[in-house]
Amino acid sequence: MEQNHFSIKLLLYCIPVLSFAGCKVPYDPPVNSSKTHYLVVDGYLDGNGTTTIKLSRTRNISTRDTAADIMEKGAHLVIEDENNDTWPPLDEIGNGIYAGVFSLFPANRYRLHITAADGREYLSDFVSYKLAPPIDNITWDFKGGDVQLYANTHDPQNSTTFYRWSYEETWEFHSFYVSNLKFDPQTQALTPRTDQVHICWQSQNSFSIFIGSSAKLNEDVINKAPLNLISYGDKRISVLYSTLVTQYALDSAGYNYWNAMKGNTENVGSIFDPQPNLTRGNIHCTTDPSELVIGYIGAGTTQQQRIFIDNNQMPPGWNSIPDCPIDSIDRDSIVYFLGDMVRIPIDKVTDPFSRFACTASSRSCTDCTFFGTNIKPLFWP
Amino acid sequence: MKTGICLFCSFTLLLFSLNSFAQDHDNLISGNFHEITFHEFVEKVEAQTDFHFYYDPSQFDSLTITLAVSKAHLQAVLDKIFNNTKWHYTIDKDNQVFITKGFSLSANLPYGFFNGEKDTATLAVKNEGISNYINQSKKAAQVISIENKLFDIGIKRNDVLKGKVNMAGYIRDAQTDESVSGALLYSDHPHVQVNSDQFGYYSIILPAGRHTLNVIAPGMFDAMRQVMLYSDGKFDIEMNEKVVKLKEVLVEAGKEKNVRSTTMGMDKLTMTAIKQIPAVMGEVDVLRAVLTLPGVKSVGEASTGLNVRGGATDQNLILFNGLNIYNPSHLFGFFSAFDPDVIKDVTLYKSSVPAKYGGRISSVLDITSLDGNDKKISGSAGIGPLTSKVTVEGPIVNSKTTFVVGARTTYSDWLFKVLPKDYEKSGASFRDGTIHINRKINSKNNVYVNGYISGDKFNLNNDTTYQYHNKNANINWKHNFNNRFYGVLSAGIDHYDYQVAFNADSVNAYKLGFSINQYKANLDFSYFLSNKHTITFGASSLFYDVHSGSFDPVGKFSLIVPDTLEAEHALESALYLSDHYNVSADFSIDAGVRFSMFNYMGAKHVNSYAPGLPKDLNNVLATNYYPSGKIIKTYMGPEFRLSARYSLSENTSIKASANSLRQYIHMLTNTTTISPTDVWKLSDPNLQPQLGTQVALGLYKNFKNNTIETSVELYYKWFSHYLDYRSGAVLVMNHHIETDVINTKGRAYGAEFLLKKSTGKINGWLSYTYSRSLLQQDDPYAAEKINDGAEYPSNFDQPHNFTFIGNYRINHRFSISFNATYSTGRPITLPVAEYDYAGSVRVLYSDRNAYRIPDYFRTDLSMNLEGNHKIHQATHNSWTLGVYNLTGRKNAYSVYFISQNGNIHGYKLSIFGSAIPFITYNIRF
Repeated sequence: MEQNHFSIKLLLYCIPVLSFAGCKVPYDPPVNSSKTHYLVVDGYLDGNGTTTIKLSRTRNISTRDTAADIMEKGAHLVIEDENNDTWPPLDEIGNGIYAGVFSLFPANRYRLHITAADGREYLSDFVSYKLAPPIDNITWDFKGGDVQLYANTHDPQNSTTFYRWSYEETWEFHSFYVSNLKFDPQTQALTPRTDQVHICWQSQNSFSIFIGSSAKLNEDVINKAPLNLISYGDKRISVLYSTLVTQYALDSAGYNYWNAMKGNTENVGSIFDPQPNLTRGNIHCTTDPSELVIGYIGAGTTQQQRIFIDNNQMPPGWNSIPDCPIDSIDRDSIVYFLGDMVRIPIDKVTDPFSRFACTASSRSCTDCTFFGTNIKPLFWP
Repeated sequence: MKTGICLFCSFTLLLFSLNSFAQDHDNLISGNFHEITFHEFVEKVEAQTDFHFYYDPSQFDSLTITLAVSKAHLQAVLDKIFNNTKWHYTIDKDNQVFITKGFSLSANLPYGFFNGEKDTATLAVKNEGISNYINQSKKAAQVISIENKLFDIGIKRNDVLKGKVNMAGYIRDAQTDESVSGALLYSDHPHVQVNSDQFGYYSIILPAGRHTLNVIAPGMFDAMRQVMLYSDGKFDIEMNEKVVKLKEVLVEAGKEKNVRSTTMGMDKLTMTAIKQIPAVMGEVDVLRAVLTLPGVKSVGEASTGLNVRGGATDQNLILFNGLNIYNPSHLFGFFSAFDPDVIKDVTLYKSSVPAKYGGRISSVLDITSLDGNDKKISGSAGIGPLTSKVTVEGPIVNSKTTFVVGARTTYSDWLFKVLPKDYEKSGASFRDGTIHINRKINSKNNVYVNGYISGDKFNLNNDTTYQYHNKNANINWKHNFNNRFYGVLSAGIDHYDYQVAFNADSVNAYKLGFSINQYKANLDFSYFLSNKHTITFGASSLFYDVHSGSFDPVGKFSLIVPDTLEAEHALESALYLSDHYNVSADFSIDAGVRFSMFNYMGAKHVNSYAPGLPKDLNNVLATNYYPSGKIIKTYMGPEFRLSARYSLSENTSIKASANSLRQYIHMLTNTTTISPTDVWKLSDPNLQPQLGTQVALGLYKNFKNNTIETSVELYYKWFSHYLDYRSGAVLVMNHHIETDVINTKGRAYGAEFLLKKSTGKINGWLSYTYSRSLLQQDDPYAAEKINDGAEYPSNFDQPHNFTFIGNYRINHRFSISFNATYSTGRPITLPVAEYDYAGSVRVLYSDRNAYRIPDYFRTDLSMNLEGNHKIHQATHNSWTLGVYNLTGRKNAYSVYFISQNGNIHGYKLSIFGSAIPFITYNIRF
C-alpha cells in the first residue's frame, strides 16, 4: 500500500512541474535603471483619419505600479515627403500627444521631423504610404472554453503582406442590484434616484501587439490571425460585447520592429526564450546619432470593422454570481452607514414600523458608474 | 540481525576447521598411470593416501591421465596434471582436495584475519564457495586466491630466461565478461604501465621472468596477478566489480590511476556510480550525472545541454558506442536520451582530447554500452513514474556472439490529462532503443554492431507538434595482427531530423523539416611498439548531407508556398598520429597531431560579399552556382594534442596539457537552452570553422593508501568564430544565414578542486570550481556590436560551483545517497528602462548578460533498497525512493519581465519548484 500512497503523491507534485505556470512567482530583480531618458515616439501617419503621435520618455523600472508618464511637451512635429514638401505642424493637444488631419498621397514616401523642446532634432526614415485593404471579417470561437477573436483579411493586389491590428473594445454591463434610492449628502437623507446606475458601458484600448504576415503564403491572405482572448466567465461578455478593430498595413521593416518588440516584451517566460535584443526603430537623432530612439513611424491608410458578441452566445454558467451581501440600514444610522458613499442604498423598507430604513450593498454591486459610464455610446444598438 | 550473527558464527567455526596449507609427509604417491580416467586416478590416490577428493565427475569425462611418479607429493602430481588447464585444486589441512574448474578456492585464512580487520564477508564468500562446492553446486564463487597463483605465459623452458616478452589480452569483469576499458596495468620492477583500450585490450612488454602485475580500474576491485613470462603469450585478466552485494570492501592498495595516467581533465563514471546519484523522478540520467563533474555546467534544470569548461552546448562531441548523437535529450531537455540500463560507463574528455577524436572544440563525451553477458540470457526491467524500460542481454547460439538490447518508452501523456484544462490538448512522449552485438569470430577478429534510435513528440497546448529523431548505426571490425598491433575498421551512419507541424487553421497549415545525415568511416590502429611507446594512428572520413530546411503546406486548403533550402554537402577528413611515450618511470608524454580537412561541396548557390563591408544583401557581389561534387571551399589545418605527466612521488604527480581543436559544424540557436528547432549549419565560404585551444595544468595527490584522491586543475582556453546573431535574426528557413550571424570570440578560464573517496562504506566526492566564460564580438564588419564590442559573460558563466555527492552503505541491502549543489546564478539580460508603447508599459533591454539570476542551491536524497540476496531465485528486485530538491527551494531557471494587461510584471520561473518525491521499481532476471 505504501507504493500507492507514494505514486499518488508523485502525481500531485508532477503537475506544477509540467505545467510550468505553477512554478512562476512574482519577482522584482534588482536593476539599475538607465540614467538617460530616451525619447519614445508612438504613432502612425494616418492618411485617411487623424494622425496622432505620442511623445514620451523612458523611465525607471517599477513593476508595482506604472509611474507617471514622462511626457515630452513643447515639441514641434512636421510631416515631410521626399520632395521636401512639408505639412503644417501637428497640434499639441496635451499630455505629450500631438495630432492633426493631413491628406497624404499613396505615390509619396513620408517621414516625421521632430524638434524637441530642448532643441534636439529627430527624423524618421522615409516610409512608403501603405494602403490597408478592408477587413474581411472579425470572427471568434471557443478555445478551451475561452473566447478567441480573430482577424481575417486579404489583399487582391498581393501588395500588403504585413498587417497590424489594434482595437477598442466596449461592453455593456449591469450592476447586480438596481438602486432606486440615493443618499443625498447635502440633506443627509434618502431621496429617490433620478439617474440610472444599473446599466453601464466600459471601454478600453488594446494593450498587446497583434501582427500578421502572409509572406510564406502564395496569396496575400490572413486567415484567423489571433486577436485578444477573453477568458471564461469574463464580465466583458456578461451582457453585450463589442470591439472595433483597426487594421494597418506595414512595410517589412515595420513588421520586423513590431515582431521584435512583441518578442522582447510579451512572448517571454517560456523555457526556450530567445535572448532579448535591442532592435532599433526607424527614428534617429540627427543631433547625436548615437542616441537611442524608440519607435517606428509608418504611414498609410487604416480600415476598421466592428462586431458584437452577445451573452446568449455564451455557454450556460458564463455569468457567475458576484459576492454581493445585502445589508439592512437602521433608521438611526443612515448617515453612519451611507455617509461615506461606500455603501449605496437599494430600496426603501416599506414596513413603516420596521427599525430599518432601507437595504444597501457595496458600490460595486449597485452602482455601475463605479466601473464605467452610464452614457450609452452612439454606436450601441 | 540475530540470524546474521548466527550465520557469521557458523562460518567462523567452519573456517577454523579449515586451516592453511598443511601436508602429511607420509602421503606420497607412486605409480605408473597410463591413459586412465581422472576417476580411476582418484581411486588409486585415495587408496594409497588419506587424501579425499571432492569434484564434479561430469567435468572430467574427457580427461585421461598418463603419468609415472615415484614417491611424489600430491601437489607436484596435480601441478603436472592440471598445468595449463582450467582446473584448479585446493588442499586443506584435513587432506580434503577440492578440484574446481575455471576458478580456485582458497583454504588460507585471508590476510588480516587475526589482526581484526573487518574482512568477514570475504571469508563468508569463500566458505560459501566451499560449501556450495561440496554440495555440487556449479555456482561460481569469488576469485581471490587467484592472486596467489603463478601463471605461466608462453612456452615453458628451463633455461635461463632472457630478453623481452610481450603479453597481451583482455581485461574483463569476472561476473559479466564485460570488457574493462581504461584499466591501468602496471608492474613495479621494472616500472612499466599500460592502459587497456576501449575494448579492454592491453599489451605490455616485460623482461622474461617472474612479475607481479597490478590492475586498477574505476569501479573495480584492484586485481593482482603473478606471472612467469617465458615467451610472447596471451593472458586475460578478470576483475571483480564493486557492487553492493555479498561483499565487503577490502582495504585497497594501488588506487593510483589519477596520479599515474597521463591524460588530464578526463572523468570516467561507471554506471554503478551514476546510479547512486539521486535522479529527477527516479530516472537515472547519464547526462545529469556528468553535470555533477567539475567543470561541467548547464544553463538550467530544463536542459541537459552540457557547457564544458566554458564552451557552448554544440561544442561537445557526444558518442554512444561511436555513434554521433546530435540531440541527446528527451522531453524538452528534461532527460537524456540514453537508457541507463544498457550503459556501462561514460568518459568525458574536457582537457586533453585523444587525437583520434575531432570535430568539436570543447569536449568529447564517450558513452559505452554493455557488451552483453556471454554466460546466460539475463535482463532487467524498470517501472518509474514517467518511463518503463526493459533490457535483455546474453549469448546468441554460443558465447561467441553476445547482444544487449534495451528499449524505453514513456507514458507521460497521462500527466496532461489530469492537468488543468489549459493543458488538456498537450502531450509528450518519447522512446529509445539500443542494440549492441559483439561477435568474437576468433582470437584475432571481433565484429561489433551498434544501433541506436530515439524519438520524441510533443505539443504544449497549442496546435503545433514537434518531433525529433536520432537514428544511428555502425559496424566495427577489430583485427589483431599480433599481440602488439591491432586495427579497427568502422563504418557508420548518423541521422538526426526534426519536424514541426502546425494545423490550427487550414489556410496556414504547414510542416517544417530539417535533417542531417552523416556517413563516416574510420580506420584506427594501435601499435604497442615497446613499453616506452604506444603509437596510435588512423584516418577518418565523414560525409555530411544536411537538409537545412523545408517548409511545405499541409492539406489542400493551405496557401503556404513550399520552400526548400538547398542541401549542404561536405567532406571532413582527418589523419592522426599519436604516441604515448614513457620517458621514464616518473615522466610520460602523450603527443599527437591530427590534420583535418573540410571540403564544402556543391551543388549549391553561394553568395559572395564585398570584402570589408557588412555581410548583408545590399553587399552581395555575385551568387555563384557550383555543380554537384564541385569543391566550393576547403578549410584545413593541424590540431595538436599534447599532455605530460611527471611523478613527484609515489602518490603525487603533476600534469600539463595543450590542445587545439577545429569544428566545422555549428548549431544555430538564439535561445539559452538547446531547443528542439535548433538548426545545424556547416562551415561555408562565409562561415569560418570554430577554432579552440586549451592549456591546462594539474596537481594530483592521493592520501591514505590512495583511497582519497585530490586534484587541482587549472585551465585557460580561447576560441574563435563562435556564432552570435543580429537582432531579429531569422535562423529557420533563412536562405542567407551569413547575413544574420556575427562572429564572436571567447575565452574561458578556471580552477577545479576535487576531493574524492571512491571506496569504503562512505564514498563520494566534493568539488569546487571557480571558472569564467567570456565572449566578445570582434567581427569588424558587423553592423551592430553586442555591448559595444566589450567583453561580456556568456550564458553559462557561473563563477562559483560547489558539488557534494555522498553515498553511505548502511548494509548490503540498504544504502543512502545524498548530494548538494551550489552555483552562482547564470547571467541574464535585464531591462534598463520602461516606456509606454502600443497601449502597454514595455521594457527596454541594453547590455547583454549584465545581471544574474539568483544563486542555485539544491539537495537530493535517495535510498536504495535491494531485495533479498538469495542466489537461486528467478528475479531480483530493488526499490529506489527519494526526494529531488529536498529543501523545495524554488531555484530560478529564468527571471523576466512581461507586459500583461498593460503593465509590466517581473517573474521568476522555476522548473522544479518543490520537493519531488519519486519511487522506482527495478527487476533483474
